[in-house]
Amino acid sequence: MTPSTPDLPATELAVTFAWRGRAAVLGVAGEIDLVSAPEFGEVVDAVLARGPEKLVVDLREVTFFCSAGLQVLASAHRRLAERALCVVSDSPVTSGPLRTTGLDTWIGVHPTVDEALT
Amino acid sequence: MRPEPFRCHGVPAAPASLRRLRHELMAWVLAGGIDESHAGDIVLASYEALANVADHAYDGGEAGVVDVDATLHPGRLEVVITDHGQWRTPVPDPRPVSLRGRGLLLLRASADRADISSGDQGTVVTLSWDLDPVPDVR
Repeated sequence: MTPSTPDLPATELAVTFAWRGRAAVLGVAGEIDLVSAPEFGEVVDAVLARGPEKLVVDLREVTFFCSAGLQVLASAHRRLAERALCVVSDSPVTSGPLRTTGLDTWIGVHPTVDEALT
Repeated sequence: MRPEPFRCHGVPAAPASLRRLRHELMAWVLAGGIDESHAGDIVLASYEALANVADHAYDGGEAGVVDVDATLHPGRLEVVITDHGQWRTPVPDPRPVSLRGRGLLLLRASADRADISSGDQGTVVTLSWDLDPVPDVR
Protein backbone atom coordinates (compact mmCIF):
# COMPACT_ATOMS: atom_id res chain seq x y z
CA MET A 1 0.00 0.00 0.00
CA THR A 2 1.41 3.43 -0.87
CA PRO A 3 1.51 5.98 1.94
CA SER A 4 0.70 8.91 -0.34
CA THR A 5 -2.88 10.01 -0.97
CA PRO A 6 -2.93 12.21 -4.07
CA ASP A 7 -6.20 13.98 -4.78
CA LEU A 8 -7.99 12.95 -1.60
CA PRO A 9 -9.42 15.75 0.55
CA ALA A 10 -7.16 17.08 3.30
CA THR A 11 -8.12 15.82 6.74
CA GLU A 12 -6.78 15.59 10.28
CA LEU A 13 -7.09 11.83 9.90
CA ALA A 14 -4.06 10.10 8.44
CA VAL A 15 -5.34 8.47 5.26
CA THR A 16 -3.79 5.89 2.93
CA PHE A 17 -5.22 4.69 -0.35
CA ALA A 18 -4.36 1.87 -2.73
CA TRP A 19 -5.96 -0.12 -5.53
CA ARG A 20 -6.01 -3.91 -5.24
CA GLY A 21 -7.36 -4.81 -8.67
CA ARG A 22 -10.81 -3.20 -8.86
CA ALA A 23 -11.01 -2.90 -5.09
CA ALA A 24 -10.13 0.33 -3.29
CA VAL A 25 -8.38 -0.03 0.06
CA LEU A 26 -8.74 3.03 2.28
CA GLY A 27 -6.78 3.16 5.51
CA VAL A 28 -7.70 5.68 8.18
CA ALA A 29 -5.87 6.53 11.41
CA GLY A 30 -6.96 8.73 14.29
CA GLU A 31 -10.15 9.50 16.18
CA ILE A 32 -13.43 9.44 14.26
CA ASP A 33 -15.84 11.65 16.19
CA LEU A 34 -17.99 14.74 15.55
CA VAL A 35 -14.87 16.71 14.64
CA SER A 36 -13.49 14.33 12.03
CA ALA A 37 -16.51 12.34 10.79
CA PRO A 38 -17.43 14.97 8.14
CA GLU A 39 -13.87 14.74 6.76
CA PHE A 40 -13.98 10.95 6.91
CA GLY A 41 -17.20 11.19 4.85
CA GLU A 42 -15.52 13.46 2.28
CA VAL A 43 -12.62 11.05 1.86
CA VAL A 44 -14.99 8.08 1.42
CA ASP A 45 -17.00 10.11 -1.13
CA ALA A 46 -13.82 10.91 -3.06
CA VAL A 47 -12.87 7.21 -3.16
CA LEU A 48 -16.37 6.14 -4.22
CA ALA A 49 -16.23 8.74 -7.03
CA ARG A 50 -13.41 6.66 -8.54
CA GLY A 51 -15.87 3.85 -9.06
CA PRO A 52 -14.39 0.91 -7.13
CA GLU A 53 -16.16 -2.43 -7.38
CA LYS A 54 -15.38 -2.99 -3.75
CA LEU A 55 -14.30 -0.75 -0.89
CA VAL A 56 -12.22 -1.97 2.05
CA VAL A 57 -11.97 0.52 4.91
CA ASP A 58 -9.07 -0.34 7.20
CA LEU A 59 -9.91 0.97 10.69
CA ARG A 60 -7.07 -0.75 12.57
CA GLU A 61 -5.35 2.56 13.37
CA VAL A 62 -8.57 4.22 14.57
CA THR A 63 -8.48 4.95 18.30
CA PHE A 64 -12.06 6.19 18.80
CA PHE A 65 -15.18 5.25 16.84
CA CYS A 66 -18.84 6.18 17.46
CA SER A 67 -22.19 6.62 15.72
CA ALA A 68 -20.83 9.52 13.64
CA GLY A 69 -18.41 7.10 11.96
CA LEU A 70 -21.10 4.42 11.58
CA GLN A 71 -23.22 6.96 9.70
CA VAL A 72 -20.43 7.46 7.13
CA LEU A 73 -20.11 3.67 6.65
CA ALA A 74 -23.89 3.21 6.34
CA SER A 75 -24.00 5.91 3.70
CA ALA A 76 -21.15 4.26 1.74
CA HIS A 77 -22.85 0.87 2.01
CA ARG A 78 -25.94 2.30 0.32
CA ARG A 79 -23.95 3.51 -2.65
CA LEU A 80 -22.19 0.22 -3.32
CA ALA A 81 -23.38 -3.20 -4.46
CA GLU A 82 -24.40 -5.63 -1.74
CA ARG A 83 -21.39 -6.96 0.23
CA ALA A 84 -19.07 -4.54 -1.60
CA LEU A 85 -18.15 -2.63 1.56
CA CYS A 86 -15.89 -4.29 4.13
CA VAL A 87 -14.13 -3.08 7.22
CA VAL A 88 -10.82 -4.24 8.66
CA SER A 89 -10.75 -4.20 12.45
CA ASP A 90 -8.73 -6.01 15.09
CA SER A 91 -10.06 -4.10 18.09
CA PRO A 92 -13.39 -3.79 19.93
CA VAL A 93 -12.96 0.00 19.65
CA THR A 94 -14.10 -0.26 16.03
CA SER A 95 -15.72 -3.70 15.72
CA GLY A 96 -17.83 -3.17 18.88
CA PRO A 97 -20.02 -0.34 17.54
CA LEU A 98 -20.50 -2.18 14.22
CA ARG A 99 -21.59 -5.38 15.98
CA THR A 100 -23.67 -3.71 18.69
CA THR A 101 -25.76 -1.86 16.12
CA GLY A 102 -26.06 -4.85 13.76
CA LEU A 103 -24.37 -3.01 10.90
CA ASP A 104 -22.00 -5.99 10.60
CA THR A 105 -24.93 -7.85 9.04
CA TRP A 106 -24.36 -5.73 5.93
CA ILE A 107 -20.78 -4.63 6.29
CA GLY A 108 -18.30 -7.48 6.71
CA VAL A 109 -15.75 -7.09 9.52
CA HIS A 110 -12.40 -8.82 8.89
CA PRO A 111 -9.13 -8.98 10.84
CA THR A 112 -6.86 -8.25 7.82
CA VAL A 113 -7.06 -6.51 4.44
CA ASP A 114 -6.33 -9.79 2.64
CA GLU A 115 -9.27 -11.51 4.33
CA ALA A 116 -11.51 -8.55 3.50
CA LEU A 117 -10.52 -8.86 -0.18
CA THR A 118 -11.32 -12.56 -0.51
CA MET B 1 -7.71 5.69 47.10
CA ARG B 2 -10.65 6.73 45.06
CA PRO B 3 -10.13 9.78 42.84
CA GLU B 4 -12.03 13.01 43.33
CA PRO B 5 -15.27 13.18 41.34
CA PHE B 6 -14.97 14.45 37.77
CA ARG B 7 -16.74 17.76 37.29
CA CYS B 8 -16.84 19.69 34.04
CA HIS B 9 -19.64 22.25 33.73
CA GLY B 10 -20.62 24.79 31.09
CA VAL B 11 -18.88 23.06 28.20
CA PRO B 12 -20.07 24.29 24.77
CA ALA B 13 -21.94 21.50 22.95
CA ALA B 14 -19.66 21.83 19.91
CA PRO B 15 -17.42 19.19 18.29
CA ALA B 16 -14.01 20.51 19.38
CA SER B 17 -14.96 21.11 23.02
CA LEU B 18 -16.77 17.77 23.26
CA ARG B 19 -13.62 16.01 22.01
CA ARG B 20 -11.55 17.72 24.70
CA LEU B 21 -14.14 16.75 27.30
CA ARG B 22 -13.98 13.11 26.13
CA HIS B 23 -10.18 13.10 26.51
CA GLU B 24 -10.45 14.54 30.03
CA LEU B 25 -13.07 11.98 31.03
CA MET B 26 -10.92 9.15 29.63
CA ALA B 27 -7.90 10.39 31.62
CA TRP B 28 -9.99 10.52 34.80
CA VAL B 29 -11.43 7.03 34.23
CA LEU B 30 -7.98 5.51 33.63
CA ALA B 31 -6.54 7.34 36.64
CA GLY B 32 -9.26 5.62 38.68
CA GLY B 33 -7.77 2.24 37.79
CA ILE B 34 -10.62 1.21 35.47
CA ASP B 35 -9.61 -1.44 32.94
CA GLU B 36 -9.30 -0.43 29.29
CA SER B 37 -12.39 -2.28 28.06
CA HIS B 38 -14.66 -0.70 30.68
CA ALA B 39 -13.02 2.67 30.04
CA GLY B 40 -13.84 2.39 26.33
CA ASP B 41 -17.51 1.65 27.09
CA ILE B 42 -17.73 4.50 29.62
CA VAL B 43 -16.26 7.05 27.26
CA LEU B 44 -18.28 5.84 24.26
CA ALA B 45 -21.66 5.94 26.04
CA SER B 46 -20.88 9.33 27.55
CA TYR B 47 -19.77 10.71 24.19
CA GLU B 48 -22.94 9.46 22.48
CA ALA B 49 -25.00 11.33 25.09
CA LEU B 50 -22.92 14.46 24.44
CA ALA B 51 -23.24 14.02 20.67
CA ASN B 52 -27.00 13.82 21.05
CA VAL B 53 -26.92 17.13 22.92
CA ALA B 54 -24.85 18.71 20.16
CA ASP B 55 -27.17 17.26 17.55
CA HIS B 56 -30.58 17.91 19.05
CA ALA B 57 -30.69 19.81 22.29
CA TYR B 58 -29.83 23.16 20.82
CA ASP B 59 -31.23 22.70 17.35
CA GLY B 60 -31.81 25.93 15.53
CA GLY B 61 -30.10 28.13 18.11
CA GLU B 62 -26.55 28.85 19.12
CA ALA B 63 -24.61 26.04 20.77
CA GLY B 64 -25.70 25.58 24.37
CA VAL B 65 -23.67 24.17 27.19
CA VAL B 66 -23.52 20.77 28.83
CA ASP B 67 -22.46 19.63 32.30
CA VAL B 68 -20.70 16.34 33.02
CA ASP B 69 -20.25 14.84 36.49
CA ALA B 70 -18.67 11.46 37.09
CA THR B 71 -18.20 9.67 40.37
CA LEU B 72 -16.40 6.48 41.30
CA HIS B 73 -18.27 4.65 44.07
CA PRO B 74 -17.23 1.31 45.57
CA GLY B 75 -18.07 -1.19 42.82
CA ARG B 76 -19.83 1.34 40.63
CA LEU B 77 -19.04 4.24 38.33
CA GLU B 78 -21.67 6.83 37.45
CA VAL B 79 -21.64 9.52 34.76
CA VAL B 80 -24.34 12.22 34.66
CA ILE B 81 -24.72 14.42 31.58
CA THR B 82 -27.03 17.41 31.96
CA ASP B 83 -28.13 19.83 29.26
CA HIS B 84 -30.50 22.73 29.36
CA GLY B 85 -32.10 22.36 25.95
CA GLN B 86 -34.79 20.22 24.42
CA TRP B 87 -33.91 16.54 24.07
CA ARG B 88 -35.33 15.05 20.91
CA THR B 89 -35.70 11.35 20.44
CA PRO B 90 -34.32 10.72 16.95
CA VAL B 91 -36.98 10.01 14.35
CA PRO B 92 -36.49 6.37 13.35
CA ASP B 93 -35.38 5.78 9.78
CA PRO B 94 -37.34 2.71 8.60
CA ARG B 95 -34.85 1.71 5.89
CA PRO B 96 -32.84 -1.44 6.66
CA VAL B 97 -29.50 0.36 6.80
CA SER B 98 -30.58 3.69 8.22
CA LEU B 99 -28.11 6.55 8.37
CA ARG B 100 -29.04 7.85 11.80
CA GLY B 101 -30.35 6.76 15.16
CA ARG B 102 -27.48 4.51 16.25
CA GLY B 103 -26.22 6.84 18.96
CA LEU B 104 -28.86 5.91 21.52
CA LEU B 105 -28.47 2.24 20.68
CA LEU B 106 -24.73 2.46 21.36
CA LEU B 107 -25.33 4.49 24.51
CA ARG B 108 -27.70 1.90 25.97
CA ALA B 109 -25.60 -1.08 24.90
CA SER B 110 -22.38 0.36 26.34
CA ALA B 111 -23.73 1.13 29.81
CA ASP B 112 -24.94 -1.31 32.47
CA ARG B 113 -27.77 1.14 33.21
CA ALA B 114 -28.91 4.17 31.24
CA ASP B 115 -31.63 6.54 32.35
CA ILE B 116 -32.76 9.50 30.29
CA SER B 117 -35.13 11.95 31.92
CA SER B 118 -36.37 14.92 29.97
CA GLY B 119 -38.16 17.95 31.31
CA ASP B 120 -38.82 21.59 30.55
CA GLN B 121 -35.45 22.58 31.99
CA GLY B 122 -33.46 20.14 29.88
CA THR B 123 -32.37 16.53 30.01
CA VAL B 124 -30.39 14.45 32.46
CA VAL B 125 -28.71 11.28 31.20
CA THR B 126 -27.49 9.01 34.00
CA LEU B 127 -25.18 6.17 33.01
CA SER B 128 -23.70 3.63 35.37
CA TRP B 129 -21.42 0.63 35.31
CA ASP B 130 -20.81 -2.17 37.80
CA LEU B 131 -17.14 -2.64 38.56
CA ASP B 132 -14.97 -5.06 40.41
CA PRO B 133 -15.18 -3.68 43.97
CA VAL B 134 -11.40 -3.77 44.40
CA PRO B 135 -10.05 -3.20 40.89
CA ASP B 136 -6.40 -2.67 41.85
CA VAL B 137 -5.89 -5.68 44.16
CA ARG B 138 -5.70 -8.63 41.79
